[in-house]
Amino acid sequence: MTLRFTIYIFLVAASIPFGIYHWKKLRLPIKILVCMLLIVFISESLTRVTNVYLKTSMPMYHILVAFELLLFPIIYLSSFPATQKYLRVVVGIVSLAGPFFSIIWSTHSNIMQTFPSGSILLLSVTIIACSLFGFVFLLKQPYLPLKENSFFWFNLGNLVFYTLTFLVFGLANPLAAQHGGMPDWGAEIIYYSNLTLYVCYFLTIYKEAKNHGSFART
Amino acid sequence: MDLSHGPDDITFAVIAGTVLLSVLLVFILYFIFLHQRERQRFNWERQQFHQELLQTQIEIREQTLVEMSLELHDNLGQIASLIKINLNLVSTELKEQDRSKITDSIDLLKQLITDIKSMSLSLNSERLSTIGLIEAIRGDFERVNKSGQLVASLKHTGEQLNLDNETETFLYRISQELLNNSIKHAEASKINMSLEKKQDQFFMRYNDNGKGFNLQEALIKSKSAGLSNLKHRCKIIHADLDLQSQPDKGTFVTITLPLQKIKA
Repeated sequence: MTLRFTIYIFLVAASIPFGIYHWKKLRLPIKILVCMLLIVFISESLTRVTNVYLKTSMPMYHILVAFELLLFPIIYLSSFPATQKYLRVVVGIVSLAGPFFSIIWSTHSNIMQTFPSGSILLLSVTIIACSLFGFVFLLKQPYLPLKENSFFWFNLGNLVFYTLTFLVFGLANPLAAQHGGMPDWGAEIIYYSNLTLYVCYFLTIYKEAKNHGSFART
Repeated sequence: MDLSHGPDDITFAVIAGTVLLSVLLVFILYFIFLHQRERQRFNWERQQFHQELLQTQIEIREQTLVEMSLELHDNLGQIASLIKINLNLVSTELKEQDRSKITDSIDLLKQLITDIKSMSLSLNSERLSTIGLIEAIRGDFERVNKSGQLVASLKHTGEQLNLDNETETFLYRISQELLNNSIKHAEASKINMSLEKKQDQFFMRYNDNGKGFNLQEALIKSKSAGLSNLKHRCKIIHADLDLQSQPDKGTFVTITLPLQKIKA
């Protein structure tokens, strides 16, 4: 296990016991986030096993992205104000359609052996759109400073990570076609923005536990 | 970081990346700016609401005091006067030896009527518009001096006050609160008050030689209704309240009222 992976998995794992310890103080969206982090942790740990026995970890990533396509819209769905009916319907449809397309994509023509870049792009677009709406709703919560608002950290982490992911994966194909793989700088951007994302998730859970109920009030 | 790719690809990637990151950064900074502005507006509105709430509370309290004052004057005062008249009539029909008890009762009634009248006057802020703040406070001090509870002195220096009726009412209630605290809690034997208008400021300085109190403790406990009333009243008229007190060393209060704020 490399140092890079150890740091990464530690950041993923750090939020889980903290979230479980403060479980009663957390609202539904954050509870889903904690569950999702647990899935990420299990999935990332299993990739080490499948790498050894199956010589590939790609199927794990296909499953993980399908879960994320289901859970992220649900987190946003339960966070957006109840008055935003149309938006909630759209996000609700996305939460069902996203995993469906992801599964179709993943099972199509033995693509499980390759990286799920198509599903990740779909996930990125969904989350970027949701986080932009999230920022609009944050403007309607001026009663809490931004740094104390758990929803702000959640949105910030998502927007930064998935925008960069979208950029890197968008550029990855033409670059890979010429050079036979993703360039190192792309992987570096993804790695460090991923660390930022999990720090933001930890802050989301921490701020929610501290300022009970600060996550987007419906 | 490996940058050994074709120059066109790298240039495109660098430009695209820079543009996207710049847009992302500008978006986040602009969002923080917007949120900060919303937050300032929210805080301002909350402060205004709080101020209006305080003002309404004080107005209701003031109205209640005026009603009590009228009730004391028109009802209780009248009844006491009627009892006095009746007792006077009865006393004429009595023998000399029985009359002395009635005379004592009449004297007590006279004292009661005087007290009711002065209490009615001190509760009624409407008379401030006719007699003014200084005379109203002087009336209260004279009443306290007459009672023999303590020695109260009032000094007015500087220009004529010429304050609006509402501000005078607030200052009058503040003076009553201070006086009340000195009598009820501080067990003071001597109090001094000075009123001074100097250029664009009005000063009310007050001190007593009572037993004082621990100011920090009082502020933390927030149990003192008197202290809380003083703070609220000062806040509404935008006056600064400086309160100094230590156990066994009396209490010193300075209220500074910037008159420009009242005009504004």
